[in-house]
Amino acid sequence: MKTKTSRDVRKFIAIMILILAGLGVLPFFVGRFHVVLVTEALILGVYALSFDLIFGYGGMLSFGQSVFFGVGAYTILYSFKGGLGLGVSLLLAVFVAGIFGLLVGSAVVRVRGAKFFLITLVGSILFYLLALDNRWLTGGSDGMIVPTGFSGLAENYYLVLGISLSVIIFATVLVNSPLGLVFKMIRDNERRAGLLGYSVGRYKVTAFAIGGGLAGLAGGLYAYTTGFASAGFFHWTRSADAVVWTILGGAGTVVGPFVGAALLTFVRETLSAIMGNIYPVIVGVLLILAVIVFPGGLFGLLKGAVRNFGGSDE
Amino acid sequence: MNDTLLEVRGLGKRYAGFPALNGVDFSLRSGQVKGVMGPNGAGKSTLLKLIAGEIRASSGSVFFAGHPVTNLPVDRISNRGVSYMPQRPSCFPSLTVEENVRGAAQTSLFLSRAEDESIVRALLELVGLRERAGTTAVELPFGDKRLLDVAMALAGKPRLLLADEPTAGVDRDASEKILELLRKMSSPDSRGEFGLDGLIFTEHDREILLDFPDEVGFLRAGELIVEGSPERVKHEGVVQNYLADHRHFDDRKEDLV
Repeated sequence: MKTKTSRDVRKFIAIMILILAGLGVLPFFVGRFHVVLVTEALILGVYALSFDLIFGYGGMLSFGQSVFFGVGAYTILYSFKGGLGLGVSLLLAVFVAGIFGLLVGSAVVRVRGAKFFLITLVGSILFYLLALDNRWLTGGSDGMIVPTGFSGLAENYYLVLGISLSVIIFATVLVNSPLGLVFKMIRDNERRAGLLGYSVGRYKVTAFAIGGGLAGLAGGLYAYTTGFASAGFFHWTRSADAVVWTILGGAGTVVGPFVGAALLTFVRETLSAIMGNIYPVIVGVLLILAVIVFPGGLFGLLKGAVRNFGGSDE
Repeated sequence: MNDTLLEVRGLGKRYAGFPALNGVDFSLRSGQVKGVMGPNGAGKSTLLKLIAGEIRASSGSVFFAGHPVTNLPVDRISNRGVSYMPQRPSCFPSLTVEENVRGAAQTSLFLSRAEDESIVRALLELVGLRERAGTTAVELPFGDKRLLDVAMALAGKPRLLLADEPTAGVDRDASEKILELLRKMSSPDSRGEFGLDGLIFTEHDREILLDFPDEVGFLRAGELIVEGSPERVKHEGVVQNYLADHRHFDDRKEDLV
């Protein structure tokens, strides 16, 4: 198997710059509908990446990511109601959801395998029911308006683009740091990581706190962008979305979750307009393909294509 | 140096009432190498796992460098300088050889330190895997995986290494390399940067066992029934019987290969 060469890295960086340039000028060339769509795709990309840090790097298949998304959304809502500005509100969303990540993580990391999956799923359902019942706090399924003082679609788009880029840079630095290496070690072989002196539980909780904080950021941005938050933000299918996007895009990569989230957001929006309820079928087929035919996800496929483009180095 | 590095008192482990290890006592002096032999299921691995903290003792206690470490979490025992190398290759399969060793050696969570990098280089050199640094661990041949295990076990510069059948299933070349390494790391004159203060290993090969260690212990049915210098131990009746059986088994194995 060929290892990553500097030429591959250069090609990859060149392509990323092209994509970024394209995203940078996007609002000048497409209509409002597509600006909103790309904004949503980016936010959901941040959300999928937050899950990938827990699953693709930390090795924990959690179905509880929607909890942090919902917590972030309602933190923004109450922060705005309290008269705080956007910057502080977003930081608060990260912080509060991060604390939830810490608490939820501490409660579940000792459980493994299928039990872990079930306990996070049940926890996610529990949070949804709590949000549904406590209408005074969440507005239940009708939700609540977020008093954002929203400045405009293009401005909001650039805000989201800037934050997404920062998150990608943060995650890239994190997964290539010594701490990121410990996450990958635990994912690969928990037992040996412990034997080498790493307190496995503590690192898993750390992954949960970081992943929770980023999911809170995504939830906050989503509530800010749509001007709305409801108990539905906590629904476990939203956790499942993160799982699907990440596996489809490429688990254990930083860009993969964005690819998965963007693709399925477009497919959903485009197809639902044309033929209604075919979206779940398409997602199902893509997932089966992802698991059987391209286990590295779409990002893995793209990487292979880039490597072969313009001749290989061998 | 004649001080006690490790002391094990009345150490026992029961699985669902069945004793896997029964009141084992022994001690290891600083600088000493101890080999542990015995039939399958005699409790050799259980003994090492108990010392390393991987399983909890049902009775008895373990002292390392004068401090009680009985039933401490495995990572804390490791950080005190006790390294355990499991019986089967146990690396991080999706990471490269270099990443495997770096993960074992790194001392900071946020920065890649220059000292850590030089430790990684020295270890890869030591076990002869420098050429393989960029290979994904899962793709290594069995013997190289075992050498990688040794490099990782030494990376934290432990005082005591517990090696569970370090040469089992390994071809002759790699097996000799591993033994050479262990011998070098535990011999006072030539051990260098990754030198050990003590080594305990389990082994099936009689030649290795009766030649290399300072002391040999013979376990049977969870009890340490013979202990002493290789010279003394090999003349004990039970050990001779075991070795005779085992040689027969080894011959058969050679035939199959």
